Amino acid sequence: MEIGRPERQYEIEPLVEPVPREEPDERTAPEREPAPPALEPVPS
Amino acid sequence: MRAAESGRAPDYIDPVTGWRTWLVVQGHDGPRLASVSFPALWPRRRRLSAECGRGFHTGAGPPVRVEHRAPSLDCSCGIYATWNLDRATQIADCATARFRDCLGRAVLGAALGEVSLWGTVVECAHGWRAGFAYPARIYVLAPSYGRRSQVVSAKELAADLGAYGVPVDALECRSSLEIRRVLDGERADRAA
Repeated sequence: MEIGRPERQYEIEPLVEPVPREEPDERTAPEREPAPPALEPVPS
Repeated sequence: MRAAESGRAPDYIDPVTGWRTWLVVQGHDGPRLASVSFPALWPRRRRLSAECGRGFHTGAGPPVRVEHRAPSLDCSCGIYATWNLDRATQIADCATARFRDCLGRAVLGAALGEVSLWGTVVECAHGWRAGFAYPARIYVLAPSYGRRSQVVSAKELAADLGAYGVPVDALECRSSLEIRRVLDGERADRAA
């Protein structure tokens, strides 16, 4: 795209980036950590 | 170096908004926006970040290869947009006439729209080059627009591109003049 000669440069840092967040139903369900293995009773 | 990294305040906090044209290509998970003149797919719900693949500064004197962060004042890199809607529609005219595939993917159609730009921004005579971008509003061009015909209807593509999470409309226009008239009217309605 022809946009002509550069004239100046600056920095823009929005407080919130203009990128929509994912809808709740679009998020993948967080993986759960597997349950720890049951401890075997220690023979006394 | 970005303002936050240099420890100084940014110059502005509001993104600039310009016009640009996209191709709509077949992604593995549905239609996606793609740049017209650079092989880049626009991610959904994530910003697009510019990279300079040329590494050339083309300012005063002969081109010198210098690795740099995009965009640079002395290079032509960055994500482009124009404040001039007529220039964006000219690109749409070219895009609809020239492309049958892009990035090895089938071109389903073309779109015009507003884009937010931020990060390092190089302001030019007719637009901007920026480090980061995300679509702000997408208008899918009608299948009959330009000199090629697309198989997928504009309304169908518009529904699929809703995954970008911004307003998407099908634009049933057959010429750049008609686009200008419709979008000028729409912007006036929004401003009222």
